[in-house]
Amino acid sequence: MGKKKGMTRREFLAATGAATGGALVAASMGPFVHTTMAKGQTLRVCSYGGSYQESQRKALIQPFADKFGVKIIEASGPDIARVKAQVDSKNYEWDVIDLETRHIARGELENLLEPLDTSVVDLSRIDKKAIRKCAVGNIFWTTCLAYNQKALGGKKPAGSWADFWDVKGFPGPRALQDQAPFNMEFALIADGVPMDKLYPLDVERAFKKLNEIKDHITVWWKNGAQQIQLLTSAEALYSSAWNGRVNVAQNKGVPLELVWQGGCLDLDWWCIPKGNPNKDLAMKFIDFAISAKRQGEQMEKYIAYGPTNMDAFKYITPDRAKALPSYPENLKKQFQMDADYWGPKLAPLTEKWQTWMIS
Amino acid sequence: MDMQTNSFTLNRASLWQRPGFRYFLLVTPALVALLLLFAYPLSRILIKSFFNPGFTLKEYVYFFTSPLYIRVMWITIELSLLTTLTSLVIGYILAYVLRRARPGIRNVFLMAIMLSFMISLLVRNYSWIIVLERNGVVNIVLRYFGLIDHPLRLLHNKFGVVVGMTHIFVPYIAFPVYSVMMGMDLNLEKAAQNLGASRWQTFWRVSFPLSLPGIGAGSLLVFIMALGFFITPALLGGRKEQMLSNLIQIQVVDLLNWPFASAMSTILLIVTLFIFFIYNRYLGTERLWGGVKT
Repeated sequence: MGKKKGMTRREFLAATGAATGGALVAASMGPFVHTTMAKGQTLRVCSYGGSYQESQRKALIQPFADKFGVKIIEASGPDIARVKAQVDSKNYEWDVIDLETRHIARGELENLLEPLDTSVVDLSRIDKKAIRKCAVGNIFWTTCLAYNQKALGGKKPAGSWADFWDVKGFPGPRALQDQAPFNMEFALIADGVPMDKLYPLDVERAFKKLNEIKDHITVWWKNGAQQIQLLTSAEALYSSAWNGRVNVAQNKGVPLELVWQGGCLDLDWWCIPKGNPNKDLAMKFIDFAISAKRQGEQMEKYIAYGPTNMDAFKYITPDRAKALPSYPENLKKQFQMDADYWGPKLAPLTEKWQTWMIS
Repeated sequence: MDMQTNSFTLNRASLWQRPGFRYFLLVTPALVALLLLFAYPLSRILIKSFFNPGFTLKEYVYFFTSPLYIRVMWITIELSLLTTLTSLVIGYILAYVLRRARPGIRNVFLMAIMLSFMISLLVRNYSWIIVLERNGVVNIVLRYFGLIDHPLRLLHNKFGVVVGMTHIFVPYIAFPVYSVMMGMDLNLEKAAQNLGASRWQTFWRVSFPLSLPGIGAGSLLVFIMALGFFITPALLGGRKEQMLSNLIQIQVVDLLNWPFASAMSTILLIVTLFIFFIYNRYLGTERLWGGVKT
């Protein structure tokens, strides 16, 4: 997905993890009962790499390793296919995995994930939208309309999906992601469907609306790096984009803006492959990682995603909170992707999408 | 080693001394690696596509009855043919010039081509984006000289894909053609011209036919590689430049439909083998492995 940074960092982490772990064993500190239990164990965490995994490393992974004296080995680039391969062969590469919703939905359908042990993982302060049988949300993120402010040259920017569809009123090259999920929802919103009445999707209506804009989309992007590159170079004036990536670009001084209105709220989830022998430690890691303080630190300092622990906002300054997808004002303008709709529908609608694309 | 075994039993010694057996031993590690890393997974894919869990042709029937997959198959073949052709033209010219260049210049060029193998595919694709995009190098230069008013659309269409893939494939044609040309006696061209042939006639009736084995080997290699390509079409192509490998990847990673993905892979393999068979029939594959006559 263009966000792997891979080997050197992993090796570095393995080394530092071992060193800090060893030091902690020697010091044998901390009043926690669990601490002694976990000492010397190894946990393998897989996430999506890039600035995102870096935020997890600083706010969640390293503190967990330090506190419990656990050695953590990181990997990047998870997908449900590799989880299936691990579960089928009982040869586990990963203990805890960060996965996107569509993978979680598939994983639950195919019985590839371990149900959450609620006696270990404290879900009491977690947003209801972020709780599933086999996974708990770790961030809210949004796919929404974004544009290059500078390239607009002072013209009024599009402020909704209806504007995005209005190629005469808001001229300029446009980009969308090459996939059915989100785009069908955006099309329906542009066509006037209220955001709380999107599901189940009116497939025919969505594609009819998509037909209108098909030839005006100059790029159908495939990965996270591409969307930002397109917007930054003004190859596309408007594009759907992930809010976290846009925020990172903004912080680097790129003149990008995003439109919360009509954004698709989605989650990344922590989960554990079915039958993983290390699942007890994995559950403990998840409980630690979704605690208010950890999420608060992660979102305040390192990445602009939304916490799933409702108490985490206590640790986030008001200014920062406004830039996060789950900030109440932003939340009101968005809809949540319905994972249970997409779970069984992903295959047929993907095929329909691909057929539509080449015709 | 030989001496020691000789002193044991006569039987074993004679086995050791048989050259066939010793060659076989030399090949064994490669053979084991091939069986383990290639034949075994391939057979698993075949099995997965035909058994679910009992024997079924369901996946294949679905492939051939759905309009999507047949279309994408044709797009794949068309794009592969197109890039093979452009790579052939550029690669051939390159090899032709190199054959006749002074050794110093030739080595510099050969090194440059070799170097391109060491640059990651992604880096090369993204470089093309910077060159070809709306505000990219080509459009800026053309606009500077007043040759165009509006930026040309060079990216996210068939043109972009062909450029990107050709860039990657040219060495795979240039090297085989070059090696065949190196084995060719340039005096033949002089002889032809001496006998009254024009430069054009010399090329078409002497040099070109002699370089055919290189052309065949290079094009086959490139065409087969192109059939399985997916990163370049995904990054430089538009909505219509979908290759079969892109669809296979989505079936494997997102939809977890491994039986169908296996069937698609098998079909792609069969197409490849078919082309290989045709080639072998008419040109002979031994030329692929550098069977250059001097």
